[in-house]
Amino acid sequence: MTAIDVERVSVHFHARAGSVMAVDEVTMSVPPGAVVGLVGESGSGKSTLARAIVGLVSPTSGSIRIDGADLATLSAGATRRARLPVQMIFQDPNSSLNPRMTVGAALSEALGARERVGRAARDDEVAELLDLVTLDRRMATAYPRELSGGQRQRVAIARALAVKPDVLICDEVTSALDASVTGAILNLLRDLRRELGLSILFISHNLAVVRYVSDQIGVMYLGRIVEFAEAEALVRSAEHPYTRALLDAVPRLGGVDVEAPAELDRDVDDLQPPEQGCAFLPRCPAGPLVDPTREICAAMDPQAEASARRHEAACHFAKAES
Amino acid sequence: MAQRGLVRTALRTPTGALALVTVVLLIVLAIVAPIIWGDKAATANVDHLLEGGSAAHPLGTDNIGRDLLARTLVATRLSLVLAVLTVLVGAGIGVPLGALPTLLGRRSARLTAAVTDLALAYPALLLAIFLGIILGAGPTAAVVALGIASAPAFARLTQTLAASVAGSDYVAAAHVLGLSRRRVLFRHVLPNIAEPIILNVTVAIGYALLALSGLSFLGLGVQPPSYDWGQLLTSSLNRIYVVPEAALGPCVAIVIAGLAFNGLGEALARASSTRSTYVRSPVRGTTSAFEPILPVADQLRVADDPVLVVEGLTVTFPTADGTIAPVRGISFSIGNGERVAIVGESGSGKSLTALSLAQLVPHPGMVRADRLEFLGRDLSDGTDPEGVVGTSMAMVFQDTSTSLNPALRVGTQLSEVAEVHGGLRRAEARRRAVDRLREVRLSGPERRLRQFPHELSGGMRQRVMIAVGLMGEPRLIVADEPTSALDVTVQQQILRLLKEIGDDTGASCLLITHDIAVATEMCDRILVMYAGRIVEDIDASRLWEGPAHPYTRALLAAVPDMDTDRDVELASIPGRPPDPADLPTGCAFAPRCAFATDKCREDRPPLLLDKTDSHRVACWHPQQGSVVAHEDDRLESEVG
Repeated sequence: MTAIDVERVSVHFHARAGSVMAVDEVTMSVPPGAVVGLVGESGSGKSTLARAIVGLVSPTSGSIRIDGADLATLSAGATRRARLPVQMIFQDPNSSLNPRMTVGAALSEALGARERVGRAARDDEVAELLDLVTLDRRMATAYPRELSGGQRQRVAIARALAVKPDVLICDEVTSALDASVTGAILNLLRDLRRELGLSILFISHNLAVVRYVSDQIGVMYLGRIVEFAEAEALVRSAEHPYTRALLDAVPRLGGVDVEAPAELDRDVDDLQPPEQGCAFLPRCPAGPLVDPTREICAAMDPQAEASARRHEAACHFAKAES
Repeated sequence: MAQRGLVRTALRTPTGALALVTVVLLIVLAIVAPIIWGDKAATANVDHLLEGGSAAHPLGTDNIGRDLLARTLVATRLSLVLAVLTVLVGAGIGVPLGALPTLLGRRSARLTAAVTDLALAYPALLLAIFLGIILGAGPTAAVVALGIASAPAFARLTQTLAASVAGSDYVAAAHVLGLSRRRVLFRHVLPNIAEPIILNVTVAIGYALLALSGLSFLGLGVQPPSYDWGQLLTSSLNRIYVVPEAALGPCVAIVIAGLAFNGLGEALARASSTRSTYVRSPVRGTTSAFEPILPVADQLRVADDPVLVVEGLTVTFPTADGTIAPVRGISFSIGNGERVAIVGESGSGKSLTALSLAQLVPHPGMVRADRLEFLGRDLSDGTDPEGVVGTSMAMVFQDTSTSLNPALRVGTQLSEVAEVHGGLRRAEARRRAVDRLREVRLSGPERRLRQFPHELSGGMRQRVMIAVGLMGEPRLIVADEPTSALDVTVQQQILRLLKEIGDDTGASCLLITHDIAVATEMCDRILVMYAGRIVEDIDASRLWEGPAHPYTRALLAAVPDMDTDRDVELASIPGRPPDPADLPTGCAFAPRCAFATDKCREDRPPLLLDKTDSHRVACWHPQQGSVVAHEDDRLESEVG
């Protein structure tokens, strides 16, 4: 069983205006067999963290351990072998399949990445993979353009499963799909997890979807995990004001109109995080904006003692407001 | 296979067909001309030195009496072969050089790219002349020189194309699978950039022909006794005032061949860029798209004090294989101050419905309606004499980065509306703009007027877009997926804003969305569209008791909400939405529906009012009961 341990990983991107910290000293882990969800808005760094784990971007600092092996200390060939049990599924099934390769060719290529197999055995394995994601075996000869969005996403999942991974990283896998297909893909991931004992890092901006599939949920804000807890605990009794804002923002059937705190309801999206203190301060409905006595929020970064708080919440006044 | 399709598409245009035929003829000529006219072209005849055109020698003869027409025809082979060789040398060096960065690590990739850039900055023809002098005059030198000179352009093209493919998710997936860089290059990158490279090679043959003729003309290319068109031109040029036809032969040949290769390349390029927009579907009759639309038995309950009444609205698009109708005779009305949502998946026709109300359906779409009344004005013929759409209907689009003009300041885009439609003076319009920006809760409205759209975030741009709509006095706000591109917390703000504006101004709202939860949160009534038709029209408050149409019920159960039981499977709808060009005869949802019977597959169910007189459903087997299985959990979570 493979586990992923991410320790104090940062990813910086160099832009013209200076360096951007996409992921900022994140520590987290995906235990064997568990589904860990990551939620956050665009720019929160959740996709960058995923890409760092699978090696598509290099972390600026920190260590990523797969099954206890620190990738930074391994040789190139050993890194490749160590990474193989961790596979990724992307958001847009239209661009994650090579338009010039048939489904069968894409799957056999992935099979070959694990070990050399003969042609006949490979055809059998392709058929088995298609069975696994409940696609018709005859689809092996089809090109991606002949498939619907949901079918393409199934092929992408089958390709990831070809190397018999232990961990799947799912980056917004249902965001580009129609509602009627979303349910089917989520069901499939759930079944695969049960049948194959997979661990999953499930990344999405949609809290309802994350809650449905995950055992534990981490909430990311500006490159950091600001709250991490068991899924139900996080949803029922969120500690961090940002998590509560996210929960309030989930559209609910039946038109339950929750009036969000007015402080969040401004054009806050162009605010820069402060130099020191809490990064969420300019938007926080529990901080000095409402209670001027809470000076500590502007003076001290709450991340330092997060691990000691309930839900590892990065907030000096975690759950101080409900 | 794909290549053949490309050629076929290119042949559909007259230029493409002409160019291809010319190229084929040139190739045939290059093969057969030396065999047929080779002797004639080589035979010297001292009796006819330097003659002009005559019946025996249409283009005249050269200084030892050889027939110039025959020589021009025979020269086709050498000219074409040299041109093709030149391009092969150029592409042979350039394409691998451009592909190299994909194979190498980051640092070496940057170095190769820099070398290419440097080489590209050096003028190609000058390089060719320079190399020609070093290597000595002759065809080999000309080919090598021009080939090397054209290599940087190929390298740059390959590099740019490869970089765009290298950024795609399937290449990322290949890396995650641990495939070697070489495999990624040959299996994933090159096959996907081959098409544009081949197009450019075709065009480059035309250019190489011109350049080689140029070098031969300068005396740096083919040397006598060999001859290509450029060399023939050189030897005839000193007689151009006396015997113009002698120089004309090779000139015309060069021009025709150059045009043919360029034209073919351009036609192929055009075909490859337009091919993706062709609707891929088998050939069908033109009338079939209209047949099922005509008998409209749908019932419509016109709202009290309606702002909008739509009956039998149909949008059709001509395609290569006949007419398709993405919107098929829909009927609905919106009351004063009412908020209505159209919910549907991609391809359901919901966005086209919105666009047709605002008379914005893109060409060549056609809109027809039995009745289309906005504020009592008839708009069904597609005209709007009083400009009522411009002044009283506001549109909010999904993509905030394209719905505002990036070159104009926010202030200009706002006041423009009031100046054009409201006849306000500039200062007044500006005052109103500030007022409206404040209404959409944008901080520092005076400052915002001077900003450009790119200086604002997505949520702020959407607020500006709504403010633009408010510059008139809208009676109906049509919002097409206004929050799909925004983050959840911002989505909530925009929805609340739209709701408040409705409450403050009394304007009605038509919200187009794929998210049924957003629709219920924001709207009073929900229209569910499937395959171009409304299949259900239900009060948002009644969605809890359970919608009647199996499709609506499946939509509700397919996406988890915050209260969905984690141990319960989500509903999924088998199959996929029908192709608009190939709809089933009966109910369009029947092939995917668990309740479908033979009747469903044969007769289309009309959209009929039920006993309550406010609920319409188009189904032979309407269902009952709530689809949300865990009502108790839900209540609990609200308490907790």
